[in-house]
Amino acid sequence: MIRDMTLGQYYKGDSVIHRLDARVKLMGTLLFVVTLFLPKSPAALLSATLFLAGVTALSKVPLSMLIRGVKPLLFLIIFSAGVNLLFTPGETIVQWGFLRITKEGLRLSIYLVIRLVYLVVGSSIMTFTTTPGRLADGLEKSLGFLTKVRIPVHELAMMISIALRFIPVLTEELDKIMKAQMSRGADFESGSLMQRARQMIPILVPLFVSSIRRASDLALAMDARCYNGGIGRTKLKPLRYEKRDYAAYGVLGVYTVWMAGCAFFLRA
Amino acid sequence: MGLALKNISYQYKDQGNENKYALQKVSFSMEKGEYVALIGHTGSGKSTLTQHLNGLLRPTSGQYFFDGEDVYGEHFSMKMLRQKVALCFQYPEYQLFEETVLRDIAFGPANMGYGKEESEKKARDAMKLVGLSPELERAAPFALSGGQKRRVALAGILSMEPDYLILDEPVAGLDGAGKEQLFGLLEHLRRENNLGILLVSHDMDDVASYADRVLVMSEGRLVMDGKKEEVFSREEMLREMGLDVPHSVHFYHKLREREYFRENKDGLPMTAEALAQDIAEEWHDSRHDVGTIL
Repeated sequence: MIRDMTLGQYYKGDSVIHRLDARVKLMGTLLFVVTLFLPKSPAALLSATLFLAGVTALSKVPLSMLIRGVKPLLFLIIFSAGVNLLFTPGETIVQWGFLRITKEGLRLSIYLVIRLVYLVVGSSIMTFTTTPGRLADGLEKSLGFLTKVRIPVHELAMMISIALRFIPVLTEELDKIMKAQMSRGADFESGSLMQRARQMIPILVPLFVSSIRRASDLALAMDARCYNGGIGRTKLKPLRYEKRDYAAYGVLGVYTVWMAGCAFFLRA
Repeated sequence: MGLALKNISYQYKDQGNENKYALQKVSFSMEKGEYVALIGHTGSGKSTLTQHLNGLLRPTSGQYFFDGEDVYGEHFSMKMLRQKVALCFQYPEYQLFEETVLRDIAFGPANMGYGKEESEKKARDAMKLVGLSPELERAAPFALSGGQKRRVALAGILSMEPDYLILDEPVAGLDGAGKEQLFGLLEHLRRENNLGILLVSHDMDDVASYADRVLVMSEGRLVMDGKKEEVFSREEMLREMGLDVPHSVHFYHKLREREYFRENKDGLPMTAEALAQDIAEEWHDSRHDVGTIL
């Protein structure tokens, strides 16, 4: 039932992108997203499209999976595009009563849709090609310098990896609880908005209860294995840069400079 | 009348491997008052089958009749099916959510369209049935002990007054006394209310002690359907599917190998008590024979 959620899921594979160091992918995603939101120009958008298409092709993640990842956010995207379309001042194209579409609004909403979709696809490529554990390792190492200012980086990375690890577990649990309540006659598909919100209670309460139970079990299990945070802990598979990682940094650097250039010299 | 499945097949959707069937042409029927056990190795399709019976899953192909009515027909009410054929999931206490025990148990009947008072009356009846004292009505379900929670969850299902009850490993995690109580309750419900019971279990001793008929599933197919004595006499075949026979049957075969019994007994002993009886009779007879010879 809830199997449509793909964000945060790992797609098993052995592509170049899969093998890249998690830090490269994190940095790459960050740069991609930042440059995506630099001042807009058709050339920049085209470059972003080509870059994303290239990475997608290299990663060998099926397009259908990427599309499924965008679906849950469709409402948000359409909503923000609609707001931009209708409420941007400028040169009017069409008008019905107080609603009007302007040239600027149209342009803005097209850019917005493309940017949001690319944002989701770009970050899901990262999660599709990196296991949650590697991702957390990458975060921990990239942000390691923050420990100097007393930010508990290891603990945060651990929390993130646990949270990601439990997504499939809780999805399955949710499915089971929904079925159990449906077999007691619960109906999640009809009724007014208020009724539907009330119908969530029989699902959410058991789900919270079981999450808390699982969390306390996990804490106990970690304690039993003498977990005491990141101090003095070594890794079984430490992150180490390879040639391809430096090459990828190179490509990223060129891309970033190019995008920055587009933003400053080719303003539309 | 009763439940009847005809050639039910169920195929997993978009899992990459297109030809993976969870159920393949499963056909069987059962009547009210029957006590049937469903056994099979993990992943053999037992829980997929039970979810079909309850209308939670729709088959890829096949037919399902409830009291002669086509369940997948246009005018069939799934709500009615879920009331009449109740499903008790494994660890049902994890689905409790209400503030009080009574309200949780009344959730089912209320969903079936009964008013508040009527639902609560049914809930009270169900509490009595499972042996929960009326003082617990206002208690919070989460404050109860594990065994009590299980009973509350079961009451929440029985309060719908089903004709058939499907239970997935209902005694998992219960202690000996709790287990016996639960099986006693099921026996009582069958006798008094003519409830049809389908018990999914991994414990062959439980299956042999309580059920009359046994269904065996393997790799999505229903491979055996018969009286428990018949099914458990095919020990070899069961072992090939990773299944066991009751301890009493196993022990009986051991004794046979050592020629303790001079002639075959009529039926296999399904319980330890039945086996003890057989052994005692044999011992008595052999002594008697020796006596006459001397």
